[in-house]
Amino acid sequence: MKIQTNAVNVLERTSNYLNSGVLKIPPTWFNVIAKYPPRKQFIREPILNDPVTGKSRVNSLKFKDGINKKGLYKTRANLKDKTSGTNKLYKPVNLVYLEDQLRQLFYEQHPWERSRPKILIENTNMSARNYDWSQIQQLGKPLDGESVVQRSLYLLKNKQCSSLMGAYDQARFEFYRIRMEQEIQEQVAMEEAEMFGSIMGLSAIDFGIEKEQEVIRQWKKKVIKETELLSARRANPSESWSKEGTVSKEKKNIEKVNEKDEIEELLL
Amino acid sequence: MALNLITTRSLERLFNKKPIPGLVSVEGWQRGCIDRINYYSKMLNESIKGNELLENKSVEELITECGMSPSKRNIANYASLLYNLEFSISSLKDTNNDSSTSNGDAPLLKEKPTKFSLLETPDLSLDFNNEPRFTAHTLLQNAIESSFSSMVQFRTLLLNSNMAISGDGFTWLVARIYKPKIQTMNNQMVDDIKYDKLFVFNTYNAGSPFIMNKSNLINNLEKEYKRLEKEKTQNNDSNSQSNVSKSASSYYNEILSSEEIKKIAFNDTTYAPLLAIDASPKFWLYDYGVFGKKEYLNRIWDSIDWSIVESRLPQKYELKYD
Amino acid sequence: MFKKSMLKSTIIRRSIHTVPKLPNINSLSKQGIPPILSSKGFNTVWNQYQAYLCDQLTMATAGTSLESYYPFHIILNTAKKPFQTNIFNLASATHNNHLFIENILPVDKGSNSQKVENRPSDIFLSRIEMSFGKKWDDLKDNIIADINTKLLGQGWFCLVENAQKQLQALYLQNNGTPYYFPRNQLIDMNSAINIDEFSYLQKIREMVSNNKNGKIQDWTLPIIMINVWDFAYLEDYGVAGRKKYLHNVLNNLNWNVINKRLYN
Repeated sequence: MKIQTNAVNVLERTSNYLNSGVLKIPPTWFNVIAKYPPRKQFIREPILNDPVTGKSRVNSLKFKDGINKKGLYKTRANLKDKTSGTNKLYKPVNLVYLEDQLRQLFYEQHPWERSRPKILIENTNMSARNYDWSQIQQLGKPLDGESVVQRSLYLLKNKQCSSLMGAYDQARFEFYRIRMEQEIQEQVAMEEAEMFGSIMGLSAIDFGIEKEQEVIRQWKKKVIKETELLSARRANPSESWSKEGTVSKEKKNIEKVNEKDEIEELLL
Repeated sequence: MALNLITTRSLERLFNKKPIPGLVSVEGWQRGCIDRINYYSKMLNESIKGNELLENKSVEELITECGMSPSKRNIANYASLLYNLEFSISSLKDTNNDSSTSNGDAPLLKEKPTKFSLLETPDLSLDFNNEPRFTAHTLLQNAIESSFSSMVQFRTLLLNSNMAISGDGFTWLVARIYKPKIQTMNNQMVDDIKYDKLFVFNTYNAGSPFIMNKSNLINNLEKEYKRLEKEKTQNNDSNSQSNVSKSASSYYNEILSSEEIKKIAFNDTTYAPLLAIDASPKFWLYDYGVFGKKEYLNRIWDSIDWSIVESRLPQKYELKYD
Repeated sequence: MFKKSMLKSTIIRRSIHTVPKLPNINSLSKQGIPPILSSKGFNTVWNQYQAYLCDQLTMATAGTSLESYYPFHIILNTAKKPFQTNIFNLASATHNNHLFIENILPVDKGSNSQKVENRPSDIFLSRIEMSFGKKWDDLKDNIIADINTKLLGQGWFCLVENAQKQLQALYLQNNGTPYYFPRNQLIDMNSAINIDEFSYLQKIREMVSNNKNGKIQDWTLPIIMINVWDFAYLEDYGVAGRKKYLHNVLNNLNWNVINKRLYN
């Protein structure tokens, strides 16, 4: 497909229209596009140096002088050396953030922190910039792994800790202290409310058990029905004249199911 | 005379006690302590009036004797409040060595904590200014470390438990006692009591560490309740029976109600209080303000007199294998 | 009616609970609410304690599904969940304290030509007589006495109107709520309880365990709310002065607010 050069000239065209009076009111996107105009150069250029580290991205064709394993002397680069040297130059550079590494480390070490419910809708009024990480707790932001990450970066930046791991550890321990406080807070509040005559619903564990039992009861009904059907189908038509045989077979099946059910309940 | 009661041994000691400059100001002491004691003892005396049997009893006896009886609730409540308050104050000492605080009218804090103190980052220090070992109370130090793993854990648990109380209450450090040889807390026979482990727990309002075992009371109430229900259904001559479906929690109840466990858990066990911390805003509101409970608790820790706490520690119960 | 005014002012920005704006807040902070609260007492119970509750509530709910709820909805949402009791406590206190301050606000005197009378409406007085068999002035003394015996520590007094439009007095321990009866917190189990109280609790317990899926319905609405926490009276009245404080509150209520809360 031909490169659509016309599309990127939208800003110029619109401003011409505005000047000449074809358009009276600038479109809503006008200022935004003017601030961040579209790129007009379509030729890809190789990125020779990593902008973050400053290192060269070109694998210079180096090979060791001297005799290799096979006892031969390598005198020039082979095909493999050549191709791998430059094929990555046109790829965009990976974005590397320190935060990401810390985040990953934190959630690897504290997998249960992931199980805390969290609202995913972004709140534009309170972007992360408003927070002051000289303290780990923020008003309007839950204490979580992100707090630890931001706090440890703050500590590192303000030279309160010399190493990254030191900063991370300090933030982590601050986090633990607050979590401990919260945990006791929850327990004591529960105990206190009960001592003042509160009657509450099921605890979290009981609620889970109840839900599971519901499913198991349904399953039991279904299985009994299915076994009955199965045994009816399997039953010898000639046997159907002697009723006792079938009934006893069915009974046996149902007993088996009941046994299974009991085991299931015991496991719970 | 009803007035006899106020001047029983515990209270006399209390009135001689001076305010604690590092912890409360003179005014705060008057409001948070003296006024309360006067009020509680006034209420106690009012509720005890005319009952000659109880008038000459000590506060502890009143708690243990009236604590389980709903009709004597007022007596037990105020006796318990008095005892708890007295007990919590008795183990506090002055921490402030500054001579500047000697003029007692000055407020304790130059600025009371504000709303920003809620977001304060916790202090991570593992060593504290006030630990039993600094004053050579190694017995207590060892007892705490063996029961709570370390001093840091103990301090965190103790202060957090108190912090979490939203209304009135006390946080206690207690020693669990196996097979007490005597029923009452009598100073001469304390040596006979042996403990196996230390615990931290909360009591709320007028709860008392002496009345931890309410299972008998609850059992009796349950029986009485069932009897009344039965009578009702018989009177109404209706066949509808309260058909409580068996919930998951009733499985736990089945386990808990088995007599065996109750025996182990309650029958021979009592708790000897070693230390109490008052959580009521009545004690800290004047000096620390609405946001100041945490600051108050930090200061409480610094003013714990470990020598008094240790003196309350019974002998350790040693397991013998023979 | 009152609910609307409550909800409107409770939240300004999403996810942060802020202290509701009262009319004439500046003069209230300077003068307090005579004769109930001094300026210092008013600052403690409203400017500071309410701010404390709002901030704590914000911190406890931030980033969860409760974040954008009003305190009233948080109360109903968390009342049945024992593991969220600390959030319930904060929400309930925030809500109750707002009701409290609203019904003790000084009455706007009005212009000279139209004097606003501050007295209970006739409907209120007749309802009181119907429900309690007593005159309001006699009932007040009863209430003060009952608060002293029933609320040993912190709590709230709440006169409510139930679904049958009868008035009832509730003595809520700590942070109980008038809206949902299993969480009224009427009984202090830290002291020995008697058979009546026990059977009351047992009845509710059976009701709750029988209604696991169905909702327990409670259409109770608060009419008068009085803060019996230390934050409300300690500064001005001291420990022994609670009776006097209650007396002052009950005799200086803002009837413009209360009369509107009652079902007409």
